[in-house]
Amino acid sequence: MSSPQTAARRSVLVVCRNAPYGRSRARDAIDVAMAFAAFDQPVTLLFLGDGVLALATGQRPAAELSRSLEKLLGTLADYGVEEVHADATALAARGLDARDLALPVRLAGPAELRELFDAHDRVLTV
Amino acid sequence: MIFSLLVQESAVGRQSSHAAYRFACALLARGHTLYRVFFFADGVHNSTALNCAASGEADLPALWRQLAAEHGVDLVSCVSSALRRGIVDEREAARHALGAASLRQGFELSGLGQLVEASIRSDRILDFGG
Repeated sequence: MSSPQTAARRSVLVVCRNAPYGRSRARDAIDVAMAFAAFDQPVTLLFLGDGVLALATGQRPAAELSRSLEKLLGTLADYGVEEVHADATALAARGLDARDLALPVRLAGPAELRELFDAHDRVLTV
Repeated sequence: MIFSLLVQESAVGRQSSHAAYRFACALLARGHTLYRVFFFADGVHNSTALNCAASGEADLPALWRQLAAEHGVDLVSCVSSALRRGIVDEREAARHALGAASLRQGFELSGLGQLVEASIRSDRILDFGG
């Protein structure tokens, strides 16, 4: 793998809209966010809609079929992904609040969501 | 303007890879540059050499290859997505003692760093199938 030009930095918003485990999408979004962080790009990970379920604590996937997303989420900060946001309306609609989440996230209402999309150079929905 | 694309769904059974291909053709027709198409997750099925398109249906792996040859577009499939899905080049086939290679000519396997680099080098990066 050739190394990207790290002189240029473009902020990227990685958006996850899919619930964990039914598809690999949530895991893929986390992998993408970690890759941008590994190359020193400012990255924010945003969970929208069903995507917020990926943040719930107490995940127990069948061990032989799927790795725990919760464990992976716990390593985000170690990989340089420090900005994790969740759609506050989507959390409330699913009966979740900040205490039910596996890691500290920023809750974003409609105004904050608009700001997030505006503030980044790149938006990638994974 | 310099564009790159992120393609995330299979070439068959879902429309988004077709949309990505048509977008690629349209931007090139307008005189823009397509720097790289990065195939991720199920998107790596776009890079198979072992498909046979049904008559009357688009053969997307062949179309991508043709587009890349004509316009010098970089076609990169995510290596970890590809290994899981049976898309391997000669080197990976040998390394993992697999019976055959399956990556179409004109594509290369590499890591997510190539997506990051595309984001840095391009004016716009668009995702399809997200």
